[in-house]
Amino acid sequence: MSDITQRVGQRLVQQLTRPCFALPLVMVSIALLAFSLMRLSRACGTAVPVHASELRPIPAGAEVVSAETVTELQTIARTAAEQLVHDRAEVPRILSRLEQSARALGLQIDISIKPSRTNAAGFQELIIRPVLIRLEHRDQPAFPRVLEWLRHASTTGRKVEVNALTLQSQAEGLASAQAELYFWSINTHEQSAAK
Amino acid sequence: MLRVIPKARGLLVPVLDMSRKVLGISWLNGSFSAALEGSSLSASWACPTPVNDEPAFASALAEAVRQTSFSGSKIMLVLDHRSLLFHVQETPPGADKLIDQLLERAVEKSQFFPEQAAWRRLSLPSAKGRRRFLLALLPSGFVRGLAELCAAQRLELVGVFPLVSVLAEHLRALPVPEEETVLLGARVGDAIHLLLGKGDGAVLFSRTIVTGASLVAERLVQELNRTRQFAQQQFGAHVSRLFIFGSETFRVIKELPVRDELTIQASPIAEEPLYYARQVAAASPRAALNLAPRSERFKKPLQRLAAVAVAALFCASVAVAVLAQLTVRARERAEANRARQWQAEEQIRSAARTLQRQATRWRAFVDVVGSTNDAPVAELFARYLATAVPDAIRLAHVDLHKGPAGWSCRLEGFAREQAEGFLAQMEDFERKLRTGIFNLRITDSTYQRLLAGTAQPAGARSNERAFFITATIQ
Repeated sequence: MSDITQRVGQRLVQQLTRPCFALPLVMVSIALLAFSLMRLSRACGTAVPVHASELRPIPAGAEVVSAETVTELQTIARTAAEQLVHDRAEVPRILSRLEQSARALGLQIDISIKPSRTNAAGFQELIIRPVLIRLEHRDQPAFPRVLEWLRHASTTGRKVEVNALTLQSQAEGLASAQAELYFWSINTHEQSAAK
Repeated sequence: MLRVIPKARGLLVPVLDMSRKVLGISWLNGSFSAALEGSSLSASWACPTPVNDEPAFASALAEAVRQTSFSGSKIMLVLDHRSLLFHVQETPPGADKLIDQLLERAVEKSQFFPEQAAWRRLSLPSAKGRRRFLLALLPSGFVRGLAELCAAQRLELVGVFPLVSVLAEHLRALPVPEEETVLLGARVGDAIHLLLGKGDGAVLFSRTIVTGASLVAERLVQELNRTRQFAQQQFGAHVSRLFIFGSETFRVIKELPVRDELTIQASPIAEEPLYYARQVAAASPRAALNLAPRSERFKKPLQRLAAVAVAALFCASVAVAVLAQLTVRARERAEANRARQWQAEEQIRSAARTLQRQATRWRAFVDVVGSTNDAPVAELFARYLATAVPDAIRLAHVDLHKGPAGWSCRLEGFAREQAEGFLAQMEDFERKLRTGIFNLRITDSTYQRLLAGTAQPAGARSNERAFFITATIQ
């Protein structure tokens, strides 16, 4: 057994020292060693690169909002949006009703429509259509009638907001009143796009 | 078999490692013997026929291996051959390396053989400040041929020693003072070998006298006298005693008609047939006068070393490659994991930011749009004014508008003169406005200006005084 081992060992030694075998083996070994050491030094000598941009931090103290909260807020917002004017043609109809109520109250009414304001309060879908209405009295007392008309204006079923009110008296009574109404409209196409 | 190893001061340093298996061979002027020495083995074989040339040596070697069941590979050979020469060479003093170079040049110049010589040296006593060496020389082709014959049988010739290497051990065993120069003779094959040396084991010269099958007395006496003269000339030594190894040889030689001053004595060491083979089997290849080619002797260890180095280099490179691969892969995996973790974290953050943005937007939307239950501020404020304005005060102009910061108003009117005075009247009116349901915050007014002394009241009628109030609704 030892003889076989010895002979195998001798054969192996002879093979390993034959130049045609040893030289390529040494060259391959050195190349492998150099390549491995180069890879190892590169891997160990450099920081691990993370190919990504910097994490954008969440502001400190920011409220953690759940998806349920957002859904709930969205529902509330949609409900609130129902009072907005959805159809542009709706504005003349409301104005017509307000005009009729003013006349019924014995007030002279003068309506002038001002240019619309888009992107109201920073929302692309919101449009404010301002309308300037001037009321004058024919008979005294006019003030209660103006108040009554204002009640009508705030109960149209749509978001019609009295943004400004000017009352002008003459002698002992109200001479004229001027109200600037904001018809809050929503552009449903913009709304969906904004989402 | 118990073998007594001589003292380890001679030319053959015995190897005490008994586990090794070495076949010792003596090839002395045609006489071939083999002795196997090992840890538990002891076998021997002597060739019955003369071995006079290399082919015969190869055959005898093969037979010796077979007869002794030798399974090792190392061969140690003690040799006495017609080609073996001894030569005394002087050199100037110098280091061993320089001495070797000088001797090499001297050997080349002397052309002892038609071909290159294989030689080894043995230091001799200096003479007149010059170093002297005994050179043992063989044709290098002859030695190489022996090594090749061995290699052909998968054997390695690790030692080729001249007979003097073995016989030198006898010198110390002789009953002579250390400084006395004596001759030691031994019959080897068809020759008599003469060794000139001292009692301390120092070898001075060696020569072989081929005598043939029978000893010729006249010639032998003549050669003995020549050797004694050589000792006298070269070393200034008077040789008075001749020791003979081997009882038969001693019996013949003691009868020689040598001069009276030379005493012939028997060697105290008992003769045995395989003495030389056993001695050389126990010798070290590193001993002096080993004529085996150095390249052959050192080739195997060097070859083994080279093979180990090549194998180690390859294994190391593979190990390093595997290590590098594992490390790099681990880092790549870590990098990928970190990237995935970052992406997941960013997705979570992005989703949180989106939800936050949406919530903020919807809240703002609800704040802006409000609900159908929002109070009609303008109407309510107008109604409130109707109740809040005292009888003595008449409003001429009311301006109410909604700005980015909230509702603000400006009231202009006239106050009828009262007993308590205008200031008190205004103070009372403004207090009522501040503490009313609209909780007005008055920013400017006629009353405040009068208090500050920056305004003069003006009246529309004789009994009225104009005023204004600017305020914001809280």
